[in-house]
Amino acid sequence: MEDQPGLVVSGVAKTYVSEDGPVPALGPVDLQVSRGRFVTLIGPSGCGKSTLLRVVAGLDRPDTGAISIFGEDPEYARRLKHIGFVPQALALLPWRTVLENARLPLELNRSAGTGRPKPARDPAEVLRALGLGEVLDRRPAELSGGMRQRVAIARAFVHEPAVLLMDEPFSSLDELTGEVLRHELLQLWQSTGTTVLFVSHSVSEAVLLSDEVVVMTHAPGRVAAVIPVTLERPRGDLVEVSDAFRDVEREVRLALRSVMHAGQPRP
Amino acid sequence: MTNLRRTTHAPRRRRRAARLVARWAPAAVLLGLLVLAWQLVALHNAYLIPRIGAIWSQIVDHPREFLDAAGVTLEESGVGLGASFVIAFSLAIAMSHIPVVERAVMPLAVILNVTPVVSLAPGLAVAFSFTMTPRYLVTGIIVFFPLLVNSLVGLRSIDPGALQYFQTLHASRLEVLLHLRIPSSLPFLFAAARICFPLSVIGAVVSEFSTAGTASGLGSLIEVGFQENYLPQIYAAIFCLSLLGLAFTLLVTLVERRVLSWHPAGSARR
Repeated sequence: MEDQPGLVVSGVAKTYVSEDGPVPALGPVDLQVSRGRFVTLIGPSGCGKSTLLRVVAGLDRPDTGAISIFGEDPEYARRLKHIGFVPQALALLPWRTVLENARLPLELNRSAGTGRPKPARDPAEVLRALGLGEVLDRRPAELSGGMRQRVAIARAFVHEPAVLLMDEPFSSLDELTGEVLRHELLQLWQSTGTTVLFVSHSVSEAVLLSDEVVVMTHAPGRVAAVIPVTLERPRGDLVEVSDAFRDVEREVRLALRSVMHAGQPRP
Repeated sequence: MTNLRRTTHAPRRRRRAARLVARWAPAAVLLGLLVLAWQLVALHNAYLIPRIGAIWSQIVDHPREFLDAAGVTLEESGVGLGASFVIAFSLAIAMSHIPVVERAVMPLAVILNVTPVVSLAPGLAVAFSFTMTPRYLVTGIIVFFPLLVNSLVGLRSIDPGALQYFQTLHASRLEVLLHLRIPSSLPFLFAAARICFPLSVIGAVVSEFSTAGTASGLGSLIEVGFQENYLPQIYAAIFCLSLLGLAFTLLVTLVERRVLSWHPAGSARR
């Protein structure tokens, strides 16, 4: 199961057109994420990590190349609700309560729900698992940043997507809250077996969460290195102070450093 | 126990009363001064403005007449506003989805907006003779533009991240409309309601000036008072119109507070 390709990105490139002419943003990128694996993209700012995520989500079409999500193209995968998405800005609906927000993916595109291999999860149960049992009837504006983040994560898991795309979800949180949430995400993910493509700008976050860390070059971003993280799972609170963790972290940092020195973008 | 409750609640009640006094006392004092000044002027210049007692007794002596007239004016503004809202909101939905509809409708809507609607009333009265139709039309036209523009801006003011989220789930256009665009537009619709409710009353009164002979609204009472040179009736009708506008505003505030509790506009007026 694990070695079957879940997500395959083949020769994907994307160029945006601005007033000053074409701006190459991505690739070509080749990437394979096996089913049930957690893979993190890391790289310099503006290297096209989020663009790659948008292309995989079917929100942008690539200029060249192809993407396969469990054998389907992104458009068809969206139609089947195979894609879960946690955007950087969360995008919770302020007029809905916590529970109503988490229920949203079950209310939209209902026809896709009938033919799905896995039944959806009970939104209240997922929210309780993330410690939100007491605030189910509150609105997002009444919650702390960490709690809002938990709601967005719960919402992404509720419809049991085949592939979960997360765009720097913890970047706006303070260090302590981020640390707690990373471990909560790991627990939730391990109970589902979803394939995850995660974008991060933190090396330690990438190493803690992932089975593989993909280091990308400056724009137009390509894959510079794929570093396997062989730390045992489940990863507890103390894994971050282990020597094995530090070794992988160092390896990722070195790969990042060589990327940074290799091609600084011209101002 | 009862005593204890009384002792704990009493200071809270006192604080609430003090807050109410602090909130409303300045307006009450100013109003009192204005009433006093009015009365002083009226006592010495009866041809300029009527005494407050005369205005009051006009309403108290003919309550049925003023209630019926207020009912007619309310009906005109309600029907005009309601119909205009349905048309403007439906058009705004079409415009937010089909650019060519916006390109077709917007210039005409702007022309309609810059045309003094008051000047349409006599023409409409001739066209539809003395029915209620010209009154509904004038009221509807006068509120149409603010309703259209606010609806359109509201339907478009969606969180782009939320739209992307909906797209990753392959939500239909109808689902985006019902679950995202319409709720996002509510703060704009309430802002429009605050402008359009008083505006619709103006439309109703103006149309009544031009269509005397049809059912008698508050504007008709003003018109009759003018013809008979009878100031107490004119000002009594104006007083009723102010009450009507105030009731509208209060209603919008109450509904807004309930519906928009999630939005700063709704919670700020608590």
